[in-house]
Amino acid sequence: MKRTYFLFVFAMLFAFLSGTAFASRAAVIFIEMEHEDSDEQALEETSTVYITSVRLAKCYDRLYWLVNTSATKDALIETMQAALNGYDTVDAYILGHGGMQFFWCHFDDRFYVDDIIGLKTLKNSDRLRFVYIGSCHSWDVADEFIEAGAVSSIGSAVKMSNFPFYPNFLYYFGTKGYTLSRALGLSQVPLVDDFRIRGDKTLRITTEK
Amino acid sequence: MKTTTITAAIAFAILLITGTLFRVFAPEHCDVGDRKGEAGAVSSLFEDADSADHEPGPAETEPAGRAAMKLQELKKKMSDDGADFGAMMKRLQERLNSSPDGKISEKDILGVIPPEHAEEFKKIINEMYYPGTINDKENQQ
Repeated sequence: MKRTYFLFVFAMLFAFLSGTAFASRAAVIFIEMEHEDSDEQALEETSTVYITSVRLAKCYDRLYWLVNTSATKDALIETMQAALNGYDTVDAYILGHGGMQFFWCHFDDRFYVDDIIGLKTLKNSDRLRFVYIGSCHSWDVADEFIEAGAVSSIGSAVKMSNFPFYPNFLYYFGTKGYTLSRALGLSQVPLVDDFRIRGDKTLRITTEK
Repeated sequence: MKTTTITAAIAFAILLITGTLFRVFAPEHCDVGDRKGEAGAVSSLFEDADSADHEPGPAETEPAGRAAMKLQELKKKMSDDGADFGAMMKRLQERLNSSPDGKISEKDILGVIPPEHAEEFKKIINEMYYPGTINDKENQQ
């Protein structure tokens, strides 16, 4: 009787721990480097897909891709909702052009700070965890993602390039599992990059929301 | 006599302390060079950058930056060879959309690039990583 009781308790404990350790994770990857619909940046977009895929495929259960023509404003909102509905933890990686208080979507559409704050109205928006915004002056929109429910976000305070910061950041944050602050510190090109973190700097790829 | 000895000892101690403080705080005695020193100041804006076990200095970031330039050169070369970037992107989108979990192989991605440029493309990407990261055998996919 006692043995059965202990086995039951262990089974319950195992089930609980498994559920906690393997909570599902998804990433929404938005890559739009030629919002004017010219084909000039296709190689940069392809290289960004390659780098992201190689580094993040093992870190998430599902990758949602919005690349080039599919990287529209509506598609971003719809895809965020699909990811938030289906997974316990959702991260977003946004790479493209931007300015103060917005970033560009395809067909010359802008995703403004108000649109970002509007993400909070999505169902399960509390599952949003981390957002990487790789566009010029993206530090200006980083706090809006925190307002929308993210635990942490990264943005650049100046005009920037995602290369070589982004591949190195994904390596340290995704592959090595370092904290955001450590991954960022290791990936910055001194005197060139000025990426900064809003929210929790100790977040790791394995941190559950 | 005793007082003189004590005064001399105190003076000597003060001299030692002053010398030590000067060595520690005077900028020209810092172990790091000018550029690295500035880089440290920038990095210190970001919490625990100083706790990192390997902080790339300017010399290490140059090859990574050069790799980004090489990507532009490759783009020009591909353009000169008549590569259709629009078709390339369309193929990539189709492959990404056809995967149920969004995961596609490295081969599938490289497959959209004209074969004569695919290897160079991969080489350039690998050069973007700082020494000691992706180029380690254990970290290769």
